[in-house]
Amino acid sequence: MKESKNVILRNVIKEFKGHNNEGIFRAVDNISVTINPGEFVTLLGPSGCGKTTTLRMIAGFETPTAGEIILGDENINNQPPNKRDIAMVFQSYALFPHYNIYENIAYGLRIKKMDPKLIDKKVSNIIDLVGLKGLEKRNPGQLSGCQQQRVALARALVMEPGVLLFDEPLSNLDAKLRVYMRTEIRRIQQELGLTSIYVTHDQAEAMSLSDRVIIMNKGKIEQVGTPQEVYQQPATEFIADFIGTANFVDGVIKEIKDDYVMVQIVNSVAKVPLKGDGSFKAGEKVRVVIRPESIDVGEEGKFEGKITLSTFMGNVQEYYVEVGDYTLFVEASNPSGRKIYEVSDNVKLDILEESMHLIKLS
Amino acid sequence: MLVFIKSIADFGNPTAIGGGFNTLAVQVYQQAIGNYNMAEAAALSIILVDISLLLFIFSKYFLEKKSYVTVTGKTAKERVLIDEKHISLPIGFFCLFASIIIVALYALVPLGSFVKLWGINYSFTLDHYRYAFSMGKKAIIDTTIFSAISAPITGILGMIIAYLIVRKRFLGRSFIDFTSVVGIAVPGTVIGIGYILAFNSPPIVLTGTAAIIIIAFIARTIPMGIKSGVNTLQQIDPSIEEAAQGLGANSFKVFTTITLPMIKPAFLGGLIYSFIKSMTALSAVIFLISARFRLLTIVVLDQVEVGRFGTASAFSTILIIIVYIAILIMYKAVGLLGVSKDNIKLT
Repeated sequence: MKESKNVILRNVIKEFKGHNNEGIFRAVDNISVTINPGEFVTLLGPSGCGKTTTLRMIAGFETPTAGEIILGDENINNQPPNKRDIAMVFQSYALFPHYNIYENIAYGLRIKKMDPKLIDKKVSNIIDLVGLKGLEKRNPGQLSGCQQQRVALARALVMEPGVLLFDEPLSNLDAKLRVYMRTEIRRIQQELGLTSIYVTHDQAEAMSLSDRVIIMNKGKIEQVGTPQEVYQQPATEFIADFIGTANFVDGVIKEIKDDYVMVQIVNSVAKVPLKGDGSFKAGEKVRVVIRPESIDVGEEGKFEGKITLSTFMGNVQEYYVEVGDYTLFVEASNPSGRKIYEVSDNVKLDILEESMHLIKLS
Repeated sequence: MLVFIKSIADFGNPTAIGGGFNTLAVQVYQQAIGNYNMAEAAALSIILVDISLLLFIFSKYFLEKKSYVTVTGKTAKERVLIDEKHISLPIGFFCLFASIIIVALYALVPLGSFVKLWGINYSFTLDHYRYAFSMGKKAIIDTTIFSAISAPITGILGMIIAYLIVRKRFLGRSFIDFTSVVGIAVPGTVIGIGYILAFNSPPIVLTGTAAIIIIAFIARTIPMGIKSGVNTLQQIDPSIEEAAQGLGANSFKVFTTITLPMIKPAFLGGLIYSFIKSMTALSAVIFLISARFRLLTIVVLDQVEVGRFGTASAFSTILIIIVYIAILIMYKAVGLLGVSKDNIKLT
């Protein structure tokens, strides 16, 4: 296996002309990021955030309006896709309908005019790796969606690319297969140590696959971090809301200590640990992110509230609890062994203060 | 829409069976050949073109505003057949009835070529064929060669133009798109007049050469190939071609190894359409023929005009046989291109 390459984007901008050449739409707005060799990075964001355009620029199907794309130590801005040491797995699989599975996978090697014996060896290895043994002679139309996606993956892997790109490859599969395939993708990526860039709007996929997540919104990068960082320490309200579910409560900084701050929220004071990113002043207004699973509904706690909705979901009991001016969303896990509260019950909320996170108000 | 344009521009049928009715296309011919009045013919042509173009533009900009992708890389499922008897039976019978009438009409042609005089003397004879071969051999060979030259050029050129129109973005793309298809809308008679006016005097003199006939054949039949190529391509997910490019294939390789095999049915269609249309072309080439080259359809028309229906039938039968043999050959040839056509699921 060849060595994986790094990818560097420097101030990359992509503009599209609007319909009838009226107006210019900036799909990717001045992004810079470095992806290390062997790293699995996900571009995550809502549709229209520019993540697919970014991926297509790396692949070479779009040319950046400005900025640099560097692969290894080479600027590849003007290299056509077929010259780049990059392979891509498409959302629609994009298998060649007139070739069988074997020929689909061998296509790229044949284009390279590789020795047929070597092709045979490489293709069989990959077929073993992705678990397609025995299906070599089938046509793409005879395979299930999951198998077709494996072919698409194999076809890209067999090229031993410096970087592997994924464009929402699992969005056409049903929920269970999606979970299965994403563990497969992760396993294979780890086994080969391949630099991978993965586009998705599914945060569960992003969290489970990635070493780092790049969160994009409106053409800009909002945050780059490990899955833990973006979930526990979201840089903006948008991220907190986009990754998982979040309650937002306004607060005022009361007191600042070395590694924690005291924050006034609703009618109580919480002790929130600082995680390196904050330089707050006393008296500053902040927004507090409270995850629904870090709230406990019971007879004890700092906050008083009233249940406005109670829903049994199997693994959790969901509550909407009115606390002061806010309605907090709560997920109480493992409802079978616990007391279930009904609408208009008065309860106390115990919020895990260690998991609270502060966002600066701009 | 197409039927209307084809009807208004039809030349062969009205001349042969029109009787007292005069159609525009025939009028153009009579002015140009009968009275040598090129100006009048050109004026009449303009009227024809106006009517056709108006309809063509209407259809292009009001009816074609939808886009669709149905062949994705996922490949499609089998189509569903209608099983209900009360629906399938009447429709089946209607189609069968229509087919029988059409087949019967065609069957009369070879039948007519084997009898002495249709309507009067029904005794068997091969005289018509003997006559046809002795005096029409050159026409048969010329027509077949011209068609055989123009069909492959049309087919390949058509697919390349379709590919450029659908997949590439370049200056003048929509202009090429428009002009390539305008040939359908312009009646053949008008094309013929246009070619005479254009190539009768320097800088390019082509009148009376084989080239002008072949060029006319190509111009006349390529729109259909382009249209079907465009339609097929629009239904193929562009990421299939991008995938090939991502795997290292350059544009030429992508076209020959991926695009062309996927649009093979459209390619074959364009090839066959071109060949048949060229073999049977009448309106466009009637102005372009010369003493050096005779074309089958024109020979048939001549025979009809002098009342030799038996010989005309014999020529027509030969024409039909040549066309069918050619279709068979083209099927086989295209089948050899790349892979077998069972592997292509385009619906």
